[in-house]
Amino acid sequence: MTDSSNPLNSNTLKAAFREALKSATKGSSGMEFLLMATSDGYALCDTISDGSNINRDSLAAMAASFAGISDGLASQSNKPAANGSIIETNAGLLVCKQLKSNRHEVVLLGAFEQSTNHGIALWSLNKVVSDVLAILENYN
Amino acid sequence: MQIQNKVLFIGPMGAGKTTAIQTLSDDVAASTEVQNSNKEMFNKETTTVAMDYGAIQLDDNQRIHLYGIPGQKHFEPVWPVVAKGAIGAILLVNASQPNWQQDTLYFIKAFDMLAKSNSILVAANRITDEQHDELAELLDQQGYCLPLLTTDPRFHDELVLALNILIANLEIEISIDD
Repeated sequence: MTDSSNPLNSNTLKAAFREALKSATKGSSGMEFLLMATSDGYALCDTISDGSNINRDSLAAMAASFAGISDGLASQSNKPAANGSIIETNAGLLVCKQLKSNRHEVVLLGAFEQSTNHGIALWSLNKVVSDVLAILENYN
Repeated sequence: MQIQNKVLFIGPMGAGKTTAIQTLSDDVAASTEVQNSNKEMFNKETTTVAMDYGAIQLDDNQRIHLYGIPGQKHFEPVWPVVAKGAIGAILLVNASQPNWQQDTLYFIKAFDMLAKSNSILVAANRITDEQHDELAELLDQQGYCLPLLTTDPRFHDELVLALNILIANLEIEISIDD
């Protein structure tokens, strides 16, 4: 079920997001894929390859949950308004960023290869964050 | 000795899980509420995406940790993570929602292990007498022998009663198993 009144369901906006994500994935070594979801867990767009066995909808829901739990954990630690969080795995980093404009809240998940270190991963993802925030602000 | 147990609050979006935990908890409950982008599903401003948490000192010896799941079905992969270690669950049913009957059965089946051991209490709100009878019959038809209460998630005493009944029921089940 979708809410047609929600601007995040706009095809124009999704296409703009998709282009930003595609160009970021192409231009950054070590980035496996990017996925963007609404803050309540609906997949918006991604750069996951078609042959992948990753379930985009489940990943979007888990990313939103992870962002939500990060916010809650930060708040309980008297450090409100989490901006992002990192998961370290044996196969590389997952970085999750919460992006908020005046009207929208989205979550951006980046998966990085094992060889990519924290600094490069964050730097790469922050570049995408700027592009996505610009799109969100302009769309308003 | 202080006994610590974990009880889940399950049910669909808009059933009252966050409200119930906020009402019951001794301290301010922690929540993971975000902007709801799907108001067709349920017309409210925010929705839970990871979990709610609170705790209540039920009596001198017993502290219950209260965990609420995110109710939307696309969060189903999160449910087992939140449910781990729970001794039982309170299934909240808002009978003013469309499809409340199907949703009730969906959540009972999703938490089948708890349902099979009669470790779920069904707490219905906004329910008419006719709907209450319908719900009791529905549970009976499906072979579930679960306690069913009418409980307003805004009322502390009603929730404490529900929690006490759930725990008493669990103790009976344990003594029968022994």
